[in-house]
Amino acid sequence: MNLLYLLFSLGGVALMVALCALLFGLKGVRITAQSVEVYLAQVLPAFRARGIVLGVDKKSALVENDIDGAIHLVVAHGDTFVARKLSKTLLQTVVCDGAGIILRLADFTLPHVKLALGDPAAAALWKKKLAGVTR
Amino acid sequence: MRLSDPVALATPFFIVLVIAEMVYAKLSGRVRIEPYDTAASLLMGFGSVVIGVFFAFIFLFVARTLAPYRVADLGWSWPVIAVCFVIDDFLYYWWHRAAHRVRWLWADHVNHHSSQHYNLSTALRQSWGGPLTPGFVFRAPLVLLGFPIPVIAFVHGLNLVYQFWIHTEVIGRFPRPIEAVMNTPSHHRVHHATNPVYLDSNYAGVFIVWDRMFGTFVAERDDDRPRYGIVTNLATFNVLKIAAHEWIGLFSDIAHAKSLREALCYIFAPPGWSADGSRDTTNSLKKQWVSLRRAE
Repeated sequence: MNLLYLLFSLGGVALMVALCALLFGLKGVRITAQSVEVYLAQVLPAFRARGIVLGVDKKSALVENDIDGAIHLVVAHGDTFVARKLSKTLLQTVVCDGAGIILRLADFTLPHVKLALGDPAAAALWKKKLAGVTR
Repeated sequence: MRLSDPVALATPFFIVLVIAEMVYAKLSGRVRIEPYDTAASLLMGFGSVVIGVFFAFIFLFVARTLAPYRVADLGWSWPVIAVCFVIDDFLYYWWHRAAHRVRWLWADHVNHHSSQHYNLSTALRQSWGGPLTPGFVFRAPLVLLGFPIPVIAFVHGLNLVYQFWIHTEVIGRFPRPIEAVMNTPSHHRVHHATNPVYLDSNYAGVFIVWDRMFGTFVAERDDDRPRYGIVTNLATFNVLKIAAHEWIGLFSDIAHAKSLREALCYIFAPPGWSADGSRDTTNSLKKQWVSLRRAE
């Protein structure tokens, strides 16, 4: 294997990715309350939304499951979502950041999430709810 | 007889088919393709080829060490190649099954399953940790049976090439006789799915008959469309993180193990096993799903 072959292959990969970006765009999905409910209903064995709060950038959300009281974090990931059930071992700290909250997680690919809620009262409310998880 | 590398010969076709699938996806809207995900898959494939070239000596070393102990010298002929292809696929089934049921092997194989999409680029999302796993052990019987090493490498390449085209949602189902014997896009969609009913099934490479024989076959259902990825999907398109995430988790668990038994369980037990039982294995997920669905 020579360097030229490697560079040629990498160039080929770059061209294919460029074509893909051209065809499908790089915008990514925006989270809505409805899309999160549909997603969690698919991936969880039992789910009924109680409370949902969306980040103002529509890239993340916190959702309470009415069935078991668990709180799920959902983040936009490309054209789909990634969800985490927040547990004591996963959720390390929750910090209020003005009108938003910052979650630090014991998760290699999702170490922290900043939810800009645009409302200090909502941030305080959800911080309080999440304190129940970390306790 | 000189055997070419099937993967090298097929690579131009891989590229053409990936592009054709992209265009089809754009025109039909029937296939989900995500540029960042595709980039990650293609780069994982590129990295895997490079690593494979550098570490091919491991398989060669083991094969040459074992070769003097072979029970026969089967030589080179097309019937021998055909038989070798079938046995290689049988051994692949067991390697693949172990790769899903033993965390050490899963730490490597999980890379291939880490996309939430299922398209031809997903086929190229290959792992980088092969040299850290004893995959060659599963092919060692071929050497001991007396198949020439180049024939083993050739049929393994053919097996890989076959598995490329089944990573697609473009093809629905084939006529029953084909679906009964061959691994098809439908069967392999089930294998990549995280729906509880589909977990840990359809390990076949080329012939689905191995799954039918050993009780791991699950048919794709029209009322339960596959959702792809892994039980805890990754929140990154960074290929280094994709390649390393499960290894880091494994080494972290071993480092925190309270006894040798615990450490060994983290290495050899199914993915999701934990000393305190706080995590989910695929078996426990299936049980939870069934009991909660019944309770509803």
